[in-house]
Parts: sequence; C-alpha cells; structure tokens
Amino acid sequence: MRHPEEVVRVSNLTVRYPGNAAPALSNVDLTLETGECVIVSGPSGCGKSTLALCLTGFIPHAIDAAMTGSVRVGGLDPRQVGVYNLAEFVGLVQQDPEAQFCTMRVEDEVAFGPENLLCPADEIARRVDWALDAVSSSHLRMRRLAELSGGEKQRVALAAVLAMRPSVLILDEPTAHLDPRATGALVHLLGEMQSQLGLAIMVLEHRPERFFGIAHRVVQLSDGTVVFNGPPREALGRADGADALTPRARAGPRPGTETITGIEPGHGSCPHLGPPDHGSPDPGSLRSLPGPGLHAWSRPDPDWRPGGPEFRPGPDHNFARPPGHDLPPSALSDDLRSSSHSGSGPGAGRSARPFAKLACGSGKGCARDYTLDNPLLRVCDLTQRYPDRAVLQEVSLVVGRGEIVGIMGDNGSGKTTLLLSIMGVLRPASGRIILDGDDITNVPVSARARRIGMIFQNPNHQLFTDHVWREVVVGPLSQGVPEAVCRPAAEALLDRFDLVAFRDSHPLTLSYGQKRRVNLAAVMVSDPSVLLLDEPFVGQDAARAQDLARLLGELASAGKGILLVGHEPDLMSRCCDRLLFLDGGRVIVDAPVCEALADFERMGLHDYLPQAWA
Amino acid sequence: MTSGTASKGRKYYFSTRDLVLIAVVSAAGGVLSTYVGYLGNLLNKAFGVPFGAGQWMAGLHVFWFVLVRVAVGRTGAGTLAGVLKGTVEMFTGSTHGLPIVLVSTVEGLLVDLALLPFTRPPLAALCIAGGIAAASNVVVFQALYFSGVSWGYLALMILFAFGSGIVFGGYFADGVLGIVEGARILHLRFSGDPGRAEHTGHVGRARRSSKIRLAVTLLMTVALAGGAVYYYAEVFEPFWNGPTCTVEGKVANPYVYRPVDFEDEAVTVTAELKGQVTYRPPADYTGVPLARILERAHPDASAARVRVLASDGYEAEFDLSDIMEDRTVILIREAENLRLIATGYEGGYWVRMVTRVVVE
Amino acid sequence: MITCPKPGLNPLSKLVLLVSFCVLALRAESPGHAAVPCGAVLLAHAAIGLPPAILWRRLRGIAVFALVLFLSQLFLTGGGAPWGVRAASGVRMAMRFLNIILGSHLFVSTTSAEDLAYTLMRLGLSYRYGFTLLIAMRFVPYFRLQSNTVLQAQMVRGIGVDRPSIKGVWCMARYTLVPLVVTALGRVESLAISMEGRCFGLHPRRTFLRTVPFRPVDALIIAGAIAVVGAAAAIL
Repeated sequence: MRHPEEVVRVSNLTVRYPGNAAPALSNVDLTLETGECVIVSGPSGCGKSTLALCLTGFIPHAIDAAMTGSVRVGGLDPRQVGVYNLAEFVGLVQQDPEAQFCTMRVEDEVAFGPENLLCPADEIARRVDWALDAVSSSHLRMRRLAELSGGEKQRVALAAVLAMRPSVLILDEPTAHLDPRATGALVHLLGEMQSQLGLAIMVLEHRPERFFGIAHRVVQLSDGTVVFNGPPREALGRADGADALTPRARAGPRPGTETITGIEPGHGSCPHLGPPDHGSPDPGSLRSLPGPGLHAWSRPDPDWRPGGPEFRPGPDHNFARPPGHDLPPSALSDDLRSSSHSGSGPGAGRSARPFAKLACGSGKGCARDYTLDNPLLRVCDLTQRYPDRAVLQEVSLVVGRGEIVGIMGDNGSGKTTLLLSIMGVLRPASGRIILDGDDITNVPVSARARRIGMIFQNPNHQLFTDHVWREVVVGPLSQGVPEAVCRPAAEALLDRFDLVAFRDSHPLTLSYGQKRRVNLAAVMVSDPSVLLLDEPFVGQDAARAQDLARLLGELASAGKGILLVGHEPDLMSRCCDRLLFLDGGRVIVDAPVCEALADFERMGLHDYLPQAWA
Repeated sequence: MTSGTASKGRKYYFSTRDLVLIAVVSAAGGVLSTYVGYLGNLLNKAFGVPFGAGQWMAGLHVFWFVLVRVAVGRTGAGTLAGVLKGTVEMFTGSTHGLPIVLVSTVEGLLVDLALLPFTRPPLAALCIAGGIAAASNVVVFQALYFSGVSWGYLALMILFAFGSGIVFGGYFADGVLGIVEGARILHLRFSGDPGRAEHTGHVGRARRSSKIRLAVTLLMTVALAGGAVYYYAEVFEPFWNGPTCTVEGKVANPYVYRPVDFEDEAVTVTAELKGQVTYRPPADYTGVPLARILERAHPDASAARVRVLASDGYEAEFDLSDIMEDRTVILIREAENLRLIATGYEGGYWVRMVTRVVVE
Repeated sequence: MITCPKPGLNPLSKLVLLVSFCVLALRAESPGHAAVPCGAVLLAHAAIGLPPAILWRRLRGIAVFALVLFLSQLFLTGGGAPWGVRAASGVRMAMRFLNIILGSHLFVSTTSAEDLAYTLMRLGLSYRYGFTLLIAMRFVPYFRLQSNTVLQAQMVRGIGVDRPSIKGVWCMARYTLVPLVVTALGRVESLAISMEGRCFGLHPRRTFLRTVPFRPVDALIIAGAIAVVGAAAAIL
C-alpha cells in the first residue's frame, strides 16, 4: 500500500479582492493528502470558491486579487507556474456542469483536455476510455450532452477533468443541481474514485453532511477563516450553527378553517417539526402579521440541527412510525402506488381525524384522506402530455389554506410541469383545477396570475424592470391596475420583506436572497391565495434557505396555500405540512410529512429521507 | 480572464474569456432572433402594415454586437459575433438561409468600424454604431432581393432601421451594460492583460446624465416623427383619398394620379355615349381632363400614343397629340373607381375602372 | 437532422457547394435560368429522403415571403417601368430568394455545425476561433430553454402585449432580453475557467480525436463547383 503523500499545503493564506475591505480568505491553513477526501463547508460567500481558484492558479493569474501566504500544489507554487502548468495536477469541477461544457458530445468533451495537451489520437482515445470508465459512464460516450440528465452531466464533467489525469480533484458545490437520487449516486462514485484511483478529493459544499460517509476531514470556513478542521464525527457535534436550520415554528392555519393535515398534536406527529400553533390570529394581510411569528422563525431550535447527533431518531425523539409502517417495503409499495392513501390503503388510520373525501366530479383519484373540507386548491386527475410522452398522469392533489405542500421527485418526474399546468402556462390534456371553489381549468394565465403566484427556480428570470419598486408593481400595472391602487400593498410588501432601502435599486444588483424576496413581493402584490414555488432553495446555503423558509411560513400563516417543489429532504421535511412524491408523472406518495417519510423509506426512496430519519 | 501571461501561456488577441463571451452572447442573440421577428410582427400589426414596420426591431439584432464589442473592448469582437450569430441563425432554421450570415457579419463589422476610434465609446458613438449597423440590413437585403425599388421607400426603411439601431443598439445596449456592471455579473476583475484594463471602464457608466438621455430621447422622437411623416405623406395610401391610377411610360415624371390633387382643375362636359350595344343620352360629367393629367407627367417628345388601361385588362389607345389638345376627354370618379369619359369618341373608348395611363 | 445518403461528403464540400449555388442563384437573370437550380435543389431534397409534404410544411412561410417579394417588386419599383418588366423582376427576385433558402435548407439539413467547425479547424482555422462556433451551437438549446422560461415568467406575472404598440414592444424587448443577457453573461466565466483549466490555449495548435474525412470526391466537388461558378460568370 502506498503511503499518503501531501499534495496540497496551504499556509497562512490571505486573499483580498480589490475594492473589498474584508479579505475573502484570512490566514487559512490546510493540507490534503493522496487518497484523502476533505469537505470544505461554510455558507455562501465564506471563501470556498476563492480557495478553489487559488489552488488552481486562477487567483492571482486570471482574477485580480491580492494573495499572501504560501500555497503549494504538488510542490508547485500556483503563483509561479500559472493555470496551465497546474492543470495536469489539479482539476476543478464547478457547480453547474451545464456551464462548463464547450462541445456537444460526451466523447468530444472528455477528449477536450487531452487534445489541448497535444496528445496523439490514440492516447486521447485511451484517456477518454479510462475517464468514462472511472465514472461508470462508458455507455454515454456517443451521447449528446444536451440529452443527458443532471447526474449524467455531472459524471461527464468529472470525466472531462479526470482525462487530464490530475492528482487532486476539487468539486465546487457538485450537488447543487442534482436531485437526491443523483446526489447519492455521485457520493458513491466519489468514494469509489477515491479508493480505487487514490485521488485527493476536495469537495466544497455548504451542506457537507451529504459527504460525511466518504470524508476524512471537514474544514469549516466562516467569513474566510477556518473555524473547524477535523473528522466528520466532530463536525457533526459542533453547534456552530452556520449551516443549521431553524425549525418550522410558524403560526398555524387561520382561525375558522379546519386543520389541514393529519399531523395533529398527539398522533403521527414529528416532534422536531413542532405542532402547529392554532392560537395565531388571522392576520388578514401580510402587513398585519404579528411580530412574534417572525421572531419565532429566527429562533434556533435546540432540538434539531441537520447532521447533529441529537437529530437522529431515538427513544427521545418520537419519529413515530404510523401504524403499518413496520411492514416490509415489498408488501407496501405496490399498495401505495395503486391506492395512494385511499381510505382502505396502508395509510388508513394514520390520522385520528375523520377522512374528508373531496368530490371532484370524476370521482377518480380525487379522494385524499388528510385534507380539509374546503380546500383552497384542488387538482383533479390532471394529465399533461408532450408530443412524445405523458408527463403527468392523472395527478390529483389538494392544498389547504395556510398549508405548505411539498412536491419531491427525481428530475424529470413532472414537478415543474405540474406547477406550470396549475398556473395555466401549459394547457392540460385533461383534468380540472379548482381554486377556492371556482373551476379555473380554462381561465387564461393572465387572469390566474391575480389569484395564483408562481416563482421560478432562477430569480434572475423574473426580474424585468429597472428598479425594485417598478418590479413589484409591474404585474398589476400590466393588467391595467392603477399604481395608486396597488401602492399600499406594494409599500407594505417592501416593508415586510426588508426591501425599502432598495426601492430604487436595480433588482439585478441585489443579493441572491434579496432577489428572492423581490420575486416574492412581486407576486404577492396581487394578493394571490396560492403560491407555487419551483425549487426556490437550489443553490442556497442554509442561512438563505432559512430566510426563505421563514418568509414562506409567514405567508402560510397569513392563510396562503403554498405548493413547494424542492429536493432537499431536510429542508422540505421541516418546511412542509405534507409531502407528495412524483414518479414518472404519477403521485405515488401524498401524506403528512412523517407518514410520507415512512413511505419513502418503505419504497426504497432512501435518498429522499432527511439525515435524521436515515 | 485571459489566456495570455496570466496563464503562463501564449498571448492572444482575444482571451479565452473574450471568445467565450462572444460565443455565448452570439448564441443568445441567434436564439432570440425568432423572438425579435415576433416583436417586429407585433409592430407591423400596430402600424397596420403587412411588413416594413418590423425594421423598428432591426436594432435588436445589432444590440448583441454592440454589447459584445463594448464588453470585450477589442475591435473585431463585433465582427466575430456577427459571423457566429448569423451562423447560429442559419443552423437553427432562419428563414433567410445563408444570407443571414452575410447580413449579420456586415452588421458586426460596421459596429467594429464605427467604434474603431474609441477606447471607451461614449453613448453617442454607441447610438451611431447601432444605427449604421441596423440600417445596413436594408441595404444588404436590397442588394440581394430587390431591384429598382423606389429610393423613397428604401430611405424610409433605412430610416426606420437606423432609428431602431439608435434605440436598441445604442441606448438600450448602454443601459444593459450598466446593469451588467452594477450586478457584477462579469466580475470585471477578470481583466488579466494590464493593457486592457481600461476597456471595462465604459461599463461603469451605469447611470447616464439626464441630459444625454434627454438628447437621445429627442433624437429618437425626431426620427420617429420624421419616419412617420414620410410614411404617411409618401407611402401610406389612405382609402379616403379615393381611387387612383398611375401615370407612367414615356414620361419625365411618373406619378400616381389622385382626383383630390386636381380638384381645382375639374371641368364639366356634356357627353353622349354611343356604343355598339350601349347607349346613354347626353349627360353632364365632371372630372379632370386627361390632357391636364398627362401634362403633370411631362410626356417625352418622342411619345405618340397614350393607352388607358382598366383593372379588368380592357384598354383604349389614343393619339397623344389629340388628347393633349382635347379638354373634353376627362377622368371622372365613379364610386370607388375612375372612368374615362371620352367625349366625341365611340363608346369603346369610354373605359371603366381605370388603373393605369401609359404614354408610349 | 436528416441522414445524408453520402455520409462521406465533407462539410467543407457542402459549404462550397452552397456558396457556389447561391452565387449562381444570384446571377440568374431570367426565370428560366433561376428555375434550373431550383429544380436541382428540389431534386436534392428528394434525394436525401425528405418527403415533399414535410418540405412544404417547413418552407411554406418561405413561399409566402417569396410572394411578398414578388408583390413588392411589382408595386414598389419606381421609375415607371412597365408591369411586364416589373413582373419579370418580381419572379426573378422571388426565385432567387427561393433558391437561396432551399439551398441553405438542404445544407443545414445534411450538415452539423460541429462537423463544420471541426473540419474548418482541421483545415487550418485557429482552433480558438473554431471553438467559438461549437460553444455558440452548444448553448442554443440552453438559451431556448431559458428564453422559454423567461417568457413563462412574464406570463405568470400577467405581463404581455394585448394591443401592440411601440411602448409595449419596447417593454417586451426589455423584459425578455435583460434576463437573457444576464443569464448568458453569467455563464461566461465558469466556461472560461473550465476551458483554461483544461489547457485551452496552451499551444497554438491542438490535436483532435474526432476525424471528419476529406476524400478525393470532396476535392473533386469543390473543384467542380468553382469551375461551374467561373463558367457561369463568364457566360451569364
């Protein structure tokens, strides 16, 4: 067995960008050995990417930044040798594989590096074979990149870097665009590469717990400074809180409405979520939201922290399996798929609350056990087809007032299509959509926009105007509403979302979190009763996600129904009242969070389980 | 970023970042060209014309070249973007085929040429570059697919395109560059080559002085007004002007005859129609003498005949000298048509639905 | 993409053929002369197996535009030219347009941009510039998706043009282009880092794994095309 060899040594590294008073990295010390996997974690802006750019030589050669201290990569000083001379020693895989491909076919992309090194054709072919084999993707060789799934793209990006035969592999937020299943596969792959190829691997992640299974060490950065450097088990125990999520502690549904989920205090509950607070007054409007509700969201929950040991279910943490959940998966999965929690299915009896079946006319697939008598949004037997396939197949769901319903599923399972169909952007092949008792199936999207708000994954796609105020009111103005009419609501939203100071700023110049709040304000100005959010947590660190989750909690407390598409099991299980799982365009799970998680487990959807549950 | 000394490699005129920027923006421009065409059609609808008003959108095609040229800060960036955008359009199904590569390349080249003297192009330079480049598409398409189109019409289209280039290629591009800089999207510290550090300075002008904005607005207003005036004065044919016919052939001044232009010269004659099958007793007819209409066109000295043609293909031929001396052969308005009252001639010379008067 | 029955034909040969064809189409002065290349290119479409119905569906918009060209030539030509002359000119221009578009369509249907880029690079075009075409084409599906999302985002905000106006179109352009530009520029640095991180630009030349065969028949085709264009220039 070969002895580990130090391949990266960073000593007292400080990096400062021009015009920035605070250094991006401050006195950082770090080492990396062959065969070692180090996770560098920390919130967005903590200096993770800057560290990667220093190790690959882009800082200071391509990016203007003052750099002091010592950096050695394979014994070379990046400042002396430049990017090209390091390229065969250290490879960088960036966050979005889509953004780093420069050819159109897998083979060309993997061959790109060796071609630039003037390798002969047979050597290039050998490297391509080897690299694709290393990422278990030889079968993709002749495929076009545009046709690949997110996970496949990430593997090809890895292979493209591996073809340079580096000793050190740096991955910057490699799971940001992957669904949980693909994330699990990537972690497994990295573990194999590490053990079989002896690579030194550095993963930059703001949610490091995903990689704890393969990590030797965890380095935690905060404001450019290393605040922790040690084994994962010690990282788990740290109560630093940088990446910790606060619990869902929002107010309950508006008075006068039924409890909308089966999670009622005392049965089927997930104690870490906390019971809904039924004592909250009806705010009537966002402006009148009670202050304490907001504060409650920012209060850290001592009982729950992602990755923390106390998070694991045990006798003291009542992750109670509902009745029937101790049955083997094989015995239940088919039932779940077929019945989707009908009254006679395995989910029967989970809730002490009597079932309140909904009649949608067709009578097929519309009954849901844990719904209220008068739901805000009902989707009945919705089918959506693209020319070559059905994307949604008889999807039915309900969203109650004040309820946050999470939709999970693999990429391509139809989650976004479902939201677009509800919004009216896509016209369904069949099915009905009922909003607050009104059938809106044939209502044009412009009219629906007054009652349903939708937020897309990328905040930049929804910022159209020159300044924040205009951005907030442009929707109503486009629909002929005078500014004087929407002004009070817009003013209140700017105030509520801490955007008053940016009223005249260009929306695109704001931070990511601020842009998200502008997006929310812009759809909330029409006071929609339902909000649809498509993967709003993608690319956000825990703090940002927490901010957004807090806002969603406030909105739900104000009586809004929220349909939330997301990939992050921890976050979704914390944030939502109920979870749906889409598989191939069908709803195969629709249950309160704890029951849904139990279903996930029984159905083998382990990648979708929160760390605590797993 | 640069692949010059920064990466301890060779020095190149365009850095890798430059090339990527040019390629990516060109791809976006190529993809959005379909959308720009859609916007052009919307404008055609707004103006109520079948085509032509879409030239108001021509500036959106050159917007990308101005953007690239300023962001890269190197002459040649616009031309390269032109080649790429045109190629992308061709390969993605442009309705113009190979010529779109030519059109796009010329536009990019003109942006480069117009901005050649500037390290940090001022807004006025961007507007002029955008205007010239946008107008060039009219000229190139004219050279390829039109022949002998009236200069007036051509000038109108060029004016439309030029105005659009000022607005979208100059003013709009400048604003977008300001946004890009404000949002720090390009991380302009990626300058690399010290010799080129200055070029990004242009992008720093996120906020224009109100005077410049006012000037551009005024300029555009004048251009818009001028275009509109010309269009409605010279090209637009309102239905309320009544029927028309062209006066053409061997004349110095071919023109479109409109009764409304000759109101003061109308005469009333009494004529009797004696046809082989039709007879109309003497009646009074009021109209403009054909001689007067021909005088306005200035027939050539060599001209000998005049043919009066109807929309249904019927025609009558007269001796030019006879007509020029006869003030009783008149063109009258009959409902929405013109009719020739050939006083003293057989019924066969009385032509209904006249559309052309041709001197030969 | 339609599979060309002559897979060995090099993209460069096809490009030279296309350019030559367009030159001939531009020089054809009479409708008769224009009809010859038109017939040839229609036959070529048939030869690659494209059913006429599909060709018509793809190009019917082109036919309408050719008609517009004809009419504009007919009615907008100044100088008092006789109608017959105008009509002949209209037919000539419409045929010229049709020929060029049909030729381009045939080229695009049988040639991939990446093959063309690799061919040009292997024939001496600087690979740094050749890759700009690859990158641009590689981002086409991405930007289609992005522009679609931006337009959907406008719809869900109730932003749209009900009655076309200059102001409305200006707003639509702004609302669509600005997010797209920001998205496009946001990709630049990741890709530049990815490429330089894999030594793009290290050497003035590079090697290639992909081969695009250039056979004697390609040389013959290129020579023949140039000869035909030269002869046509001398005769017409």
